[in-house]
Amino acid sequence: MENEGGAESSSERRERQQIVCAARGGKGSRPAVNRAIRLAKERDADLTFLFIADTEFLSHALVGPPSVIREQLRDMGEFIMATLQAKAAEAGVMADYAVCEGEVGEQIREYVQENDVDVLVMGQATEEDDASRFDSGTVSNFAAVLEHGEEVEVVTVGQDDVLME
Amino acid sequence: MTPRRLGGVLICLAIGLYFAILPSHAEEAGNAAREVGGPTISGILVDPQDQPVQDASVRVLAEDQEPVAETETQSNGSFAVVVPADTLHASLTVDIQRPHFHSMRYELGADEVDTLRTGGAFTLPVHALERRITLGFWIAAITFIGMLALIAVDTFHNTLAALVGAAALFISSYLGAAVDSDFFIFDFERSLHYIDWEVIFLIMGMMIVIAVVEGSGIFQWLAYFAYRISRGRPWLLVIVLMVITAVASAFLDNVTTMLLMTPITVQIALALEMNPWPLLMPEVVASNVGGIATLVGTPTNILIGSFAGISFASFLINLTPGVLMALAALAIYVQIIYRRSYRHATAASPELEERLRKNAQITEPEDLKRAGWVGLGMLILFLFGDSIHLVPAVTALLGATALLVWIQPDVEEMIEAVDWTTLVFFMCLFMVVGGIQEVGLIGYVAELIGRIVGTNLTLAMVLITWLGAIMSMLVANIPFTAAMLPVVAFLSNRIPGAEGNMLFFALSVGAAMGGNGSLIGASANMVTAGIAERVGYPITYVDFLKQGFPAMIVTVTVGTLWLLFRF
Repeated sequence: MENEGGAESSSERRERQQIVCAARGGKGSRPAVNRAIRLAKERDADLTFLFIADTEFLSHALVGPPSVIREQLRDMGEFIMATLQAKAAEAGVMADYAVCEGEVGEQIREYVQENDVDVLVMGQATEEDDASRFDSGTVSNFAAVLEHGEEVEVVTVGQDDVLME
Repeated sequence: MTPRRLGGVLICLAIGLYFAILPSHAEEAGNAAREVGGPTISGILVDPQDQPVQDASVRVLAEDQEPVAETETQSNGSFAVVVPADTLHASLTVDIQRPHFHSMRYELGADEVDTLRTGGAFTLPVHALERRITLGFWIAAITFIGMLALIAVDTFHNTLAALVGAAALFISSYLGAAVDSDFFIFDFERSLHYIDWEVIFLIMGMMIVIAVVEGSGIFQWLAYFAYRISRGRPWLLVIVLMVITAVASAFLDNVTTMLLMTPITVQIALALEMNPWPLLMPEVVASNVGGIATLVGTPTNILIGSFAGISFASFLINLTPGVLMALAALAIYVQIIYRRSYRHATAASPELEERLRKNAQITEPEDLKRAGWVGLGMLILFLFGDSIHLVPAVTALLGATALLVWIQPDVEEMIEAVDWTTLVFFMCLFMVVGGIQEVGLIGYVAELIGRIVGTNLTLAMVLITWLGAIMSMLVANIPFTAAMLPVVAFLSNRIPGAEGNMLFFALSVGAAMGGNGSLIGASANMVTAGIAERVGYPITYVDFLKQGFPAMIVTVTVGTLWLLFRF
């Protein structure tokens, strides 16, 4: 797991709410990213964008996932998170980002646990997405499980919210 | 006489000499008999496609039907069996049996037995055994189709699908045959005959070479270089990226090329505030087309080259111009369909450009330099090794060893980079395809296609190219190509004028270019889509079809025209 930015001490950070926005960076993530920025502004909270480099799809390809490819995917994730960071900065919110590697649902849960996250903002999977990447099937189920188990407020932002943004 | 004419005469003499030395079927049988000595019965067995039948049981039966001598046919279909002198009575019967063929009996008359009695040899006429459809035939056919389906629907890992296929054949051959001999397909020893070890070692050697090269950062640097020289203009950027991807794919495998090109391409696209697909799609189609140019560019070319004995230079000479023309056509195609996306791209911010530059640095310049020298040496051996009978697999292994010795990377890490699951996939695939070959299914398909095309070479070439393209679009192109190899060999032997491997080149063009037609058509498409989906740019099967299918039509048409012009 890798964190960038974050000059404040941990005690200072704990005084403020921790908002994490799990995003991939595509068009479908925009509503969730916008909502996370708005929430961070409204609550004067710390905002971190979280990217999960999931290499599971390589297991079906006739090639092993060597470390070089994993490194490339991490670089790509950092680049995408940096674009979101810049977007937040434009809105007056200083955000951090983190890049993790592994199964998406598992990594989000782990990150939330390890970083005392108060609010998790996620987009909802589109029809083209592979919803099965979450253990519990869908984003809303996953959110419910997470809210119950980790005591974190989960905000799921659907594609319909695009119009509202 | 001009040097060119002299060369032509020498080539003709060499070919004439080769055919003069090459023994005919009957001569082979006679030779086998002479080698054995004593009262000998010899012969040659072939299948309905005139291919030698190996491992057929040949028994000589006495009057009381008791066997007095027996043997098996060799790889060229010949046999020679010495009959003990004390068993040479009034008449003898030669009993020939082979699974998946009707058994055959030949009665030796008194004159023929007399010849043997005087210590002479008797040669049976060349005999074509008749095929027999057994339960094993249906099981092998269903197993092959099932394996293709499992790979196509992506529910099983390709290797697991092939492993399940091979296991099904053995279950039928051992457990099934214990109940009813009709279930028999082949035994383990026979199945090993079908594994092409040259393919296995070539892929393994190239995997080690790729593992060294990919860690150097060259792909990322090249993509960034494309961005710099195009000054961020997408219409030009995409052409440079296509050229880089096609050249890289000609020497490395397409999947690795796309795995390394996709992340940096996504970053470039996002820096330009555009959807990555108008850059990724041209790259992946260029990768599938570029691989055709060389023997090592695609797994299908490796299969074809090894089976038909086509050299690296021959692939380069016969297919590279067609590949270049197809790429030119693709470049025009992408400019038309993605023109709006290219127009709406914006300039990258200095911060993102700086990040791009940082992510695209060559990380191991010394290793890259050494890999370059070794790569050059390998290219020379690939090109000219044929003249000293150096097979490409050995060149790849020599190159891999040279890199490991010179660069001295972590050997364990490099060996781990060899994707053993891929190698197991190929071994099991060869067995499953061997199964359908053993039971005669491939022979029937060859006969059917042979009947359709007759002796029309142009029709055969067009049919193989387009059949290859459509089948590769619908099912995985590697198993399809492996199954088509004996079919194409049969047609090449049967159709006048098809001797120059031209039908194999048609298969190469069809199988690789067809992969562009659908998302599942090529592994490179799947991994590119996988990465793009992970960064929020998923592509559906239908969307890929809409963009990829016309690209396939364009490239296969150009490829076909080139083949017709060239041959």
